[in-house]
Amino acid sequence: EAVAAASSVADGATGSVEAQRWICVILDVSESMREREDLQPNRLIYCLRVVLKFIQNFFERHPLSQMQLILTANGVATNLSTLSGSVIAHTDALKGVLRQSTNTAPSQSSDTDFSKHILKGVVSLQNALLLALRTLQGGSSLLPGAAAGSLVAGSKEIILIMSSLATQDPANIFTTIEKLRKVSIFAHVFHIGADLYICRYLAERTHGKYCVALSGEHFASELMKIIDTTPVDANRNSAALNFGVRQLPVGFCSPVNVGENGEEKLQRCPKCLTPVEHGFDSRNSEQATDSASPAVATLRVLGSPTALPTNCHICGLLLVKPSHLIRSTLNTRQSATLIASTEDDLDQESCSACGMELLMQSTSTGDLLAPLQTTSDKRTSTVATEKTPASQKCGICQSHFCAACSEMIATTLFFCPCCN
Amino acid sequence: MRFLMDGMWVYFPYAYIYPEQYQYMLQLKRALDANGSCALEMPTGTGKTISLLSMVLSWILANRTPDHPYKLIYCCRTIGEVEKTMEELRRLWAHVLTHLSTGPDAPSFVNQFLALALASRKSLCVHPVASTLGKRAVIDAKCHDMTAPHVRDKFRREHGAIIHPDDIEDSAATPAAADIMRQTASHVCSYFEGYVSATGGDPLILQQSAKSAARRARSRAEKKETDPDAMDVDELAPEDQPLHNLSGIFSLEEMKAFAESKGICPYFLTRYLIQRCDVVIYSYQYLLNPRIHQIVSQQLKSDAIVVFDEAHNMDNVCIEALSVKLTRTTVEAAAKNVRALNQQVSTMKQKDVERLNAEYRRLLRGLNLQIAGNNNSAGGNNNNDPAALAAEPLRANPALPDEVVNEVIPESIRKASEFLGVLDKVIQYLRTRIGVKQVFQESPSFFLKKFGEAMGMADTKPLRFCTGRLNSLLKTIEITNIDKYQPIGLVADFATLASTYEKEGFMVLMEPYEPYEFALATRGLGSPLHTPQGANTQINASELTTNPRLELSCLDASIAMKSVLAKFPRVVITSGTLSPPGMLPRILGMKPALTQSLSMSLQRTSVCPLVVTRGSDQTPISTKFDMRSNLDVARNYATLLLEFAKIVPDGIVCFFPSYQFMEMMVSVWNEMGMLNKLIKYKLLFVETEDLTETSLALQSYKKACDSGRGAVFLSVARGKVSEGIDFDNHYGRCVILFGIPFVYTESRTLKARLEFLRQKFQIHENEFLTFDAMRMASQCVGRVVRGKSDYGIMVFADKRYNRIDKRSKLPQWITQFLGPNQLNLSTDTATSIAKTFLKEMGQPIDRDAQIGVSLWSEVEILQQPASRPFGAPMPAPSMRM
Repeated sequence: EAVAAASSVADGATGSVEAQRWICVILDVSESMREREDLQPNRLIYCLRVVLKFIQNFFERHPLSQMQLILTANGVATNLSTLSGSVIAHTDALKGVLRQSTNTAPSQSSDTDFSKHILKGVVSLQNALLLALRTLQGGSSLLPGAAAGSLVAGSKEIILIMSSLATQDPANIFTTIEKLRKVSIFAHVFHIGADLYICRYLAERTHGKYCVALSGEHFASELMKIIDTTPVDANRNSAALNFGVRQLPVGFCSPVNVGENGEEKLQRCPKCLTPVEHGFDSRNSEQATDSASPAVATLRVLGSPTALPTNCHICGLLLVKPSHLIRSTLNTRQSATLIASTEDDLDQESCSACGMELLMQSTSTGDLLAPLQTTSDKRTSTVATEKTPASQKCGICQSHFCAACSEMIATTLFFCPCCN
Repeated sequence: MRFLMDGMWVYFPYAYIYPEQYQYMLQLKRALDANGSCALEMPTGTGKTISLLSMVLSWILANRTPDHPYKLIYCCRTIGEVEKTMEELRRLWAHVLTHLSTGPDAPSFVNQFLALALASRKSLCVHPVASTLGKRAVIDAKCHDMTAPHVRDKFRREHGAIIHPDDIEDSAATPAAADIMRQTASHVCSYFEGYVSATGGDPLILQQSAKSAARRARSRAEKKETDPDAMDVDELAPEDQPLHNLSGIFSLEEMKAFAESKGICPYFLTRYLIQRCDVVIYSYQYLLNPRIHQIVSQQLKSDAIVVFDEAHNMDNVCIEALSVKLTRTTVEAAAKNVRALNQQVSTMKQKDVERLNAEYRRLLRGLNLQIAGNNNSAGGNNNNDPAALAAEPLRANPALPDEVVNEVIPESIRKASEFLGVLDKVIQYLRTRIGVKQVFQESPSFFLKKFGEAMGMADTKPLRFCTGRLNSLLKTIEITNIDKYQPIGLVADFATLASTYEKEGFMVLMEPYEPYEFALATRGLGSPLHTPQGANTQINASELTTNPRLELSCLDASIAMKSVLAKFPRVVITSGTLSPPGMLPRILGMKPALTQSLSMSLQRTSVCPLVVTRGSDQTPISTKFDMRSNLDVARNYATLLLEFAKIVPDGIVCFFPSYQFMEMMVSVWNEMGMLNKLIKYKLLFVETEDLTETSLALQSYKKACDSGRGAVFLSVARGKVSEGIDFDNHYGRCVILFGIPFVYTESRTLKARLEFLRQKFQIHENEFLTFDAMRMASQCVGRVVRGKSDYGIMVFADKRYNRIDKRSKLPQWITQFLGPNQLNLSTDTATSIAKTFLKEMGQPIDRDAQIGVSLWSEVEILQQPASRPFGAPMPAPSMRM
């Protein structure tokens, strides 16, 4: 019963998000990134900060997804980090670049060869794309964290952040773009500066998003939009699309007590019952988000030293936590839309979730928050002077929830427990 | 889309229309209604051609009567434009047909609609040998050798008579007939014979496929003999008369394919059909060059609507059509021609005196009367002899028909040998004049007077008949290889024009040296920064490579226009750059009923003109003569280009005022190391005077733009690139004009013309020069914005652009975006404006926001005063909101 199937609904009309996404972020660190006029303190530092924020936000929403960072400048491209789902690995790598770029004098002790190229020359679009292609083309079974045997699951994307107006390519770039298209990789291009034809072509040809940044804020907000939407290629995975649903087999670990007193707790793969020892990613994104969600915290209390998500190293099943699935599939489900109850709903007396009596709340704006807090803390029935419902109801099934439950639905659960 | 405009249905093939297209049509309609000519300026890339075609065709459909079957004559500059226009027309006509009934009961106009494109034999010939010859003159000569009446007569004499269609089946079996068929392949053109038979003439040979058509043609010819007026196209079944009922839209290639499949010559077929077709699209030359006009366009009726597209350079086309340039080699070759002719005449005197005598008698009747008669019989009488088209004058009179004196050829040149003597005198005189290494400038009358004195010819009037007389002579002695006789033809043209236009509008000029070299030697114009010291101070004039040119230069553009304007009341000239309005019509001698300059309606500001007057170091930049060799200017121009190369994506096009200046700049930049810096950002391509080199450079340039490497194209404002080649979308995101592209002012031809303009039209020379330079400048910058979704930066890098007299001569669609903050900029302010502009332009276009602003659907059209449905009340202003 622990093996579930997370469905990622591929619905072209709404532009849903895949449960799993493989993303290569290509960052231009060429000379044009020195530009100080439009982005402060300069383009590179600004972009690095935006990308850092992007990585945080991305993994918060897509805990099952993987990312790789690629840098390009001076006609060459290099991998900054390997494909992984680790926020920390990526942020650390980016911070390294940030340090290098702020050091005016080139540091002798720099560990990578690439540091000498930073902020020099122009990008090499083709080299960078080929690197990304090599990573993404590996076949999803080879990708860490991929669901076993599900080649179709997940979308492969490239995010290109470019500032250079020229590219130095070893060969014909159009063949590379065709290759990307053939393996249905989306390339989103963000150009800081101007509308470059090859970038527009790349994005349009691969059905990616194309954006020329008007300002720093515009760039950041457009980049963040990538998190919520994935373009859907019409001719891609048509067989799977015919069913409307793609299956992503996942497993939920069940903790097993071992040892005499049960002090040692072990998680086992629900399919082959292998103990899960190490996740593929010890520095998982959990700590960034876990504390915020009480539901996950509860799970942790039950005792899970192993970081999830991970693959079972025997059968390859993707082991996840329920919250991962919820977060990953936010857009694929009908996310709960809660609306404030009206006076007509006064006859509803108890919360549909916790069964507590619904409270009436004063409409005076001054102490709007006060009863909310009291209810969430003590759940005692205080008699409000004016009878307006403090509760909210689901926009679909009209179930009523008390303030505490609606807050949880909005921040953690993301769906209505009654109708979904 | 179909809508009413002043009560007339207008057919437009697209669902949306630009407001300026609507305005354009409205103006055009008013001009057509007023039976007047008009000059309309509309920015490029706003669908000028389609609005024009749409309006004219709708107007013709509405106003057509049997007496006035209006016709559209559309003149383009290049073959490519002809083809493009044809495609637009095809789309339009397909749309028109969706609104009109096309059944058998439909008006005959609908079923017989015919649109043709005409080009020279070079583009239309399908003859297996002639079409491979390459050069235009050679193909024409080869064609003449196979189709001239005397060639066909000779063939007829040698190979018996015509092979009758009824006999051909029997004779095809015999070896003799097979031999004849082989002979025909080399002596006469089977396609031309196919044409003759298909149009009812008397063919020499018949092809199997054309056999039945010829039989019908013969029967028709017999019928016509009995009653010439009984010719009625309708009474014959369509399959019987494929050529008379021919309908459809034929581009050059389609016409070739169609005619070849029928075994008919496409060139002659097109020319034959021009008289009855509804739309003809061809080059300016067919109408403006009197030599070609007489042959091709003479018979067009005056109710035709004449359109000159891209007319901004029309005055130059008119002038070139009437000017004759002679070099020393031409004169020598002409002398050789005369010797050859003399020989032929003398041999003919011994052999065939009768023919010469016949010519003499014919000339006595009057040369021009005879030609006119020929034309009348060909045009007026519904082509009783289609083969006459091939018997056209070898060299038509270069002067305009109404100037040609309609009288008997003077006695002194009536005899062949005497005429050759006169020609010889002319050549001798030209030889003496061209040998002198001295610049001179004379009026034609003075030139002729001196000629008369020197050669002992008191009366120079006979010279007026030179071309006609030469023509007659060449025909009489049955010359082949007419391309060899071009030099003597040029000399004859020279003489004819000089004596016809003795009074005004022409000038005889002598340039002993190439103009550039001359300037270089005398003024040290060429790279002063590089020549070793003293090298350019004194160059002996004798050391120069002399290529003396004697030019009879036409100064008055209105001369060539006059006949067109006199014949066709409805002449439309249109272009993207006609500003300032009124100037061009004035020079052309037009009195337009309407002159209008339309601005561009845009939802976003997609044109960014920048007037850069100072470099990054605040030094003024200019290509003025005293400043252009200044190193500061060169450095500032280099910095300007470099800065823009850093911020502009993909392609940048630069225009220099001349090749020399460009070469000088490039070499100076190279020494400064600027080119190496530039190459980091963009690749560099340069236009040269070699056409193949330039087209190769263009190809690579476009490839570099495509693949994201970025490129800069350096070209010259009056070169090939500035006129014909579009740098649309990413191929031209920015255009930089280094300096104002003034025409080379030291040229004597130009000076004479300026003088003439001042005297005749009271146009001050500066005014004309500025007008000319600014139209060139706007042509150059117009290369980069070719449509509404396109955008581009236009950098005017010269401090003189800041002056109001220069700026005001830019077309309105540029000036409307030229705000005060875009004037008098330095390099760095200009780049920062450009940066912001480029970012804004990179944003996706919201199509819905355009509708109503820069795109009108039928809803918006119905709100226009001219298109409101009949009887509908005038909407109150508040209601319109």
